[in-house]
Amino acid sequence: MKKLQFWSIVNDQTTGPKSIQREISAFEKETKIKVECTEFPWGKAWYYLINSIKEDNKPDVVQIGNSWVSTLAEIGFLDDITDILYNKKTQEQFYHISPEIGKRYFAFPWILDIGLLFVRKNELTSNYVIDTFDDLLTLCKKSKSKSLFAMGGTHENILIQYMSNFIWGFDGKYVRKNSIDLLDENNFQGIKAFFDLIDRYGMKKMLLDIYGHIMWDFFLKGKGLFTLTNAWVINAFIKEHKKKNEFMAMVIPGNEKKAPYMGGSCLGMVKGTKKMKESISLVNFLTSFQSQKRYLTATGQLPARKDVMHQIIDNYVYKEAILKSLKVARIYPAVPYWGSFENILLEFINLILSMIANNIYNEKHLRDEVQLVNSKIKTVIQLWER
Amino acid sequence: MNENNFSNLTANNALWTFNIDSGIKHVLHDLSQKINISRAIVYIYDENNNILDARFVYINRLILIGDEQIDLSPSNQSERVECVRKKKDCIKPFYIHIPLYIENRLYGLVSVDKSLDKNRLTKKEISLIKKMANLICYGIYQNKILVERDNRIKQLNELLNISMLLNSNDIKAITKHIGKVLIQFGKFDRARIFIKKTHETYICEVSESIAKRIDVRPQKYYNTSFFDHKEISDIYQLMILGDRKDPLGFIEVDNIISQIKIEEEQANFLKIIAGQLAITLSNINLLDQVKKASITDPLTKTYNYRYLMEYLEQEVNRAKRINNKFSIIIVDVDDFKMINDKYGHIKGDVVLKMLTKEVKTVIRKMDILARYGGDEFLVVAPKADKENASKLAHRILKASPDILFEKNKREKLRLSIGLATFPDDGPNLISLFKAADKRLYKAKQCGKNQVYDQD
Repeated sequence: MKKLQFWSIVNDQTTGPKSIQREISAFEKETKIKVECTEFPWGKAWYYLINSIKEDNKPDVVQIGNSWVSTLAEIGFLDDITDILYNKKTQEQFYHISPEIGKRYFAFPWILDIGLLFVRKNELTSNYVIDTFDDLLTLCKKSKSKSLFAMGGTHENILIQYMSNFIWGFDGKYVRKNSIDLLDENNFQGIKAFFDLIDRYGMKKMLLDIYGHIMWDFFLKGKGLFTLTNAWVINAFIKEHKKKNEFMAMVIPGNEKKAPYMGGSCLGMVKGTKKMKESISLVNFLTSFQSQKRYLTATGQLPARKDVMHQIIDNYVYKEAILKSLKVARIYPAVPYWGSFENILLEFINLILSMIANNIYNEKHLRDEVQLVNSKIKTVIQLWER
Repeated sequence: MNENNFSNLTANNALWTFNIDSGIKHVLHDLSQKINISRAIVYIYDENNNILDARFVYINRLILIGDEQIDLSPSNQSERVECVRKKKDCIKPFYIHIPLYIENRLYGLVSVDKSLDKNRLTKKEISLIKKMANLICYGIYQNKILVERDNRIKQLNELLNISMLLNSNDIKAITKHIGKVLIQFGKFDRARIFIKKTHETYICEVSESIAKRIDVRPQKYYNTSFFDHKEISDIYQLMILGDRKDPLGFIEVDNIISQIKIEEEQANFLKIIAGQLAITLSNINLLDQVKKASITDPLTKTYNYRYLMEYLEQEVNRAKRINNKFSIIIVDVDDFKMINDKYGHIKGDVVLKMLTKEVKTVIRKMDILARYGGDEFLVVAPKADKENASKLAHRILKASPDILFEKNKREKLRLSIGLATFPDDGPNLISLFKAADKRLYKAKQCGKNQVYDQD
């Protein structure tokens, strides 16, 4: 009998691969359902998913980034799980990282991902409060070093999340259904603030031709005053090296209505699966209290389950920052074409980063490129809706 | 890299199948067991020597604590570019870059460093790393060939299937199949095929659920100006079928969901498919023209005798099967010989054309008008009993055109009409024609320009 096919997206740099295998074994033992778990990296995930549909080689259950849910639901890849899995009670138990599409849900929250501002504790920062972008700039000005922002790496979708924090921090509306204008003043100011910060205080040599999240290592090693990253990265580091007292964590700065990006992974059931019952069992197992606690404690990631979250972050030094962020954090709007936009935005961000690395970045170039992105996205929307 | 290098291959070969990731991982893991390396990076290059992808292996996650110089400095980047350009290994005390070449084609680059160890790379270690690089190079090369061959075989098989299907002349089936092929083997996200002949658009989309439900939409016009956007030219293509001035249709494909740029191979596949479809459409059009010509009277553009008889055979069977009636109406132009003799054959032809034009306006959609003989026409009126057929015949008589025979001499064309109804006037075609002919003769005998529906 064919095994239940589960596709998991992992990061080689974490203990993810080993830990997910452990969870699958526990599931198999408990339910006697055999699972074939295929792991692939985040950078390839979107391509693999789309190709699996084209080649009719789809799994039964799949881990997906929460920002892809709308698009994958729109093209009929994901099943509507509202009635079978995601009832009112479960909605209260989990953080809302899976977008609601016309009052329906197409993916189940699994792993939560929230961005925080991590600052190295030193004389300069120990008593300094960073609430707004101006506070951050003032801190930068006070420092003598030019390379303060441990921001590097290209080709990673996470860069879009970093930019989102700034857009929302400036009250930008980002992309809404059928309407997009990144040149809208608030949107643009957020985008500009993000790149200006990298241009003025970023570690430029790290922007060159570097794949992956090298900046974490850079920052954690002792380089850079601050970094913008997802909480689990530092969790994993602290777990390993017990250097928790070296850093402060805070909500990503912004104006009064600041809202950090809340991402994460969801579990989706693939439309047309012949193993519906088994798929439901697997989703229920992976999102159960025990499995979430075991798996996410091992990887350092944050759970989408509220009860597990409260238990496992209890010892974190930056627990307060996580809880504060969760209160104001937001996910991307349920725009059907968001999955496609991500690639356009990533291309744009990489282009600007290479401009910064080569010292040719300025506002005019940025504006021109934003205009091109606007136009490209508009055309994609038109094509989608035809 | 020469062939001899491949002699180092081990049982790891088995890993180099379609999954390049597991192959690289396995080899690097083996290496890390033998040398205390800090980090290894495998860059994979495309045909244009651009980095397509990179696989990282952090033997120690915090490698940069040891030495941040590796790969992070611009000078190091230029070292890599340089060793790729020179096709030569770059060996430094703590790290090594090895470009992976086979027959002048760059497949990748391996960077290994052991800076954390703080011991210089030994000759033995360098030799081992080179062997590992050879293995990876072979793996990338083999993987590329395997994937390409697999795709090519699938595409060829599919092209064969399509060419077999193209003989069917069933536009709907062909288009439906081609749409699926463009998604499955052409690897496009979406395909939209518009056929001008039928004014129909067939849409296939990436999702299986949508692809199975082929949407057929009548489309009155097709606006191509929309697709002049340069912004999406790398993920969208429009292929015109046939002559650009008078196209047979279009195929539109895009990768707007995955946002993956359309590759040359994909574009070539599309061209082949579009070419095949264009030829088929052109053949279908030609076949339709021949078919139409074979059943049409060239002068009056009504059905010819051959078609009429085939149709009547079917109509008799149908009427018998469902116990229905139908009527035939024979229309004859009075004194047509005189018109030909007096005004010439050209005038005679004009008269016939004008007559059929008018008759077509008064018969029902389901009725058939055919040229039965020189100046005789026959109307087949399905489901019409005697009473209805008689009414229709009178409408035809009334609709007879005014003909300008000479200057200031306009006359209404005179017609004699006889009709018969199946099965009341005869149980088969012969008896039916006999009855209709008899009544036509009577109409002529009794003064012409009238309808006779009874003996």
